[in-house]
Amino acid sequence: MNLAERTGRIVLDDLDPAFVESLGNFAAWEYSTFYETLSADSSLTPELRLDLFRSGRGLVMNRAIVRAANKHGIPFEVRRLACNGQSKLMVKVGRVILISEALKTMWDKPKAADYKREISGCYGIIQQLEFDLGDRPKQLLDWSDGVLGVILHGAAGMRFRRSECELGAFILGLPDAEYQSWLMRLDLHDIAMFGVTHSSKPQPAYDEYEQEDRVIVKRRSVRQIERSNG
Amino acid sequence: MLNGDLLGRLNVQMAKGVANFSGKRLTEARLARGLFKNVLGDMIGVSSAAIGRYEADQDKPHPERLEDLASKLSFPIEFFTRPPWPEKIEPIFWRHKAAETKAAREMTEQRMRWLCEIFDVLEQEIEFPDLNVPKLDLPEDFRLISSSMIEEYAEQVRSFWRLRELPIRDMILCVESAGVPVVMLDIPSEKQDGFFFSSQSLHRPFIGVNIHDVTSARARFDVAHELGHLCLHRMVTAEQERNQVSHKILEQQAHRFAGAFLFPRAAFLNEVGVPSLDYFSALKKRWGISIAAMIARSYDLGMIDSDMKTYLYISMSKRKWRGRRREPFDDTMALERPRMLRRGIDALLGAGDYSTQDIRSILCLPPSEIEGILSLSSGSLSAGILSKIDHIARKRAPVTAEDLETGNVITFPGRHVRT
Repeated sequence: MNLAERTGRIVLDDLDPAFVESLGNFAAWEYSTFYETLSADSSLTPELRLDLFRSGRGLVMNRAIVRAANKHGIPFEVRRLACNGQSKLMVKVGRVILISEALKTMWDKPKAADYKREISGCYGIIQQLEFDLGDRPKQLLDWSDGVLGVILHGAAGMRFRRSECELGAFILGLPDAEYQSWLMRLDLHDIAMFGVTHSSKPQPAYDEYEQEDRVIVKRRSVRQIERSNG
Repeated sequence: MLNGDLLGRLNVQMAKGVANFSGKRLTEARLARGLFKNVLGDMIGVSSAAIGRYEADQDKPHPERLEDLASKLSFPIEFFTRPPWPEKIEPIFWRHKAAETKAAREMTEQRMRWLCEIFDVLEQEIEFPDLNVPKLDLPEDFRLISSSMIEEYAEQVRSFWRLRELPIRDMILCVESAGVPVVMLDIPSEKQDGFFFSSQSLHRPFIGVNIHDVTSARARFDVAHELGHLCLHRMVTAEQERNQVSHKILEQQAHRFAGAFLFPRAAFLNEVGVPSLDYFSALKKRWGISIAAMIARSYDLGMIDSDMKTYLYISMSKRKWRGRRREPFDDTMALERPRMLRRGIDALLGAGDYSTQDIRSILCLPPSEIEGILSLSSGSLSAGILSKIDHIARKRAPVTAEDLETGNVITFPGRHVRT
């Protein structure tokens, strides 16, 4: 199994479909609410509304992520980045660390940044990132074998209209080590709805394993039946 | 002083008592309801001594009194006139806390006897899966079974059932596919988790799980634990099981087996890179084993020391993950359900020879007890319907054939299509 397959398997194994489903629902509502808020603000021009909508989508998704993480008891942390002073929300679902990024188009490539390079490490294996939740002693702080996933999201259209400002793209991208391209992109709607992706990418081992039902119960033939008066 | 005439009348009255009344049946019904003799006596207006005499078969109740007893205990009258299950069931491997009362255990023991009866009745008409449990090469003295041997035994059983080193999606299906019926009883006691026993006359082991406020992961572990008794403790005697010291060892061994069976050593070492709560949380849904059990498993396999184990349990408490139904996914993971006995009933009804009323009178138990033992939905028997069984379909269609000469369809009303 190569690294890309291994990465995909970890993501599919550890990403909780219930969390993804909640995230999708919350994100859709947050997108819609954000549109309503901007529409209702009479001090804004249409151009300003569109600009604000585009620049505010990151915050909208972060709000959805926090709600979903709280709902499912999944740890998250807001990290202040040393390189630019910005704060970045990070969620840890099993071995998968999630950050979010707003997309302009479906064909967007990963946008490189120092902190992303740092956490994407070698083929997505995280070397440095560690959340101190108070449940690990010092010797376990070097948490490794994790995978960075980027929640890519975008509006359904390009204009400031209700139908075009709804949540459109909802994808999980797995960047390569240099954060130059996507190793894999998974449709989160699929994961939310079916628990796994329908893509041809590696599936977790347990999905290949169908447990056989051998509880076969048959009526005895009449000749076999020994009736009693009981 | 009684004169001869009065004595004679009493003898006549005694003779009028229900002749085929079984005192043991009364004991069963009373214990199943958790009643003391004096309480039952008060309910029907007799002394506790009278109840004692009925139960010892020294006295037979009059038909009216029997009717009263049956009504107060909510049992069919016929139940008290059927011979009780003749076999003494032992050893019974109980999984319960030491504080569990004798009365609570006796309540469950009655259900075990009825389980045997129901299985016996069904087996006369139904073919159940053959027993397919590997006979492990065990030391004669169970105290010689070491932890590493248990790990190997669990692997052998997995290999025998061709489970590979993958998660078991349905633990109950796994056990029932090997011909071991599982019952899920709602016993309102947090101290009783489950039981295992083998019926010598039926040549069949049975596993029971208390599903009162239980989570899916816990129930899976309970079934695997009882499977451990089945595989490891076939040579254990009833006396050994009753002995407190031996009981503790037997429970520890079954516990180790459950962990090893649900999450095999090699897979655990491979998948748990670093024992942490987040790792365990991510693995819980995949392997269907609780986070607390995975902490114990890490300790058993030497991945963490006792300090670390304590530390992780404390961390679970800090996250409010300890206690009933508090771990992540406890509310979302569905409880597995047994199917073997239920399918037996389905097969009987599906063939069209029996109605739910027939089933009730054959099994001769209160509908709620039958529903509980067979894992039928509550009220399905008492209402005369079973959820998944289409009674209209039981009216089998007559056989038809096409006349090759004319093309007409000919119906044979006296013959029916086999279902």
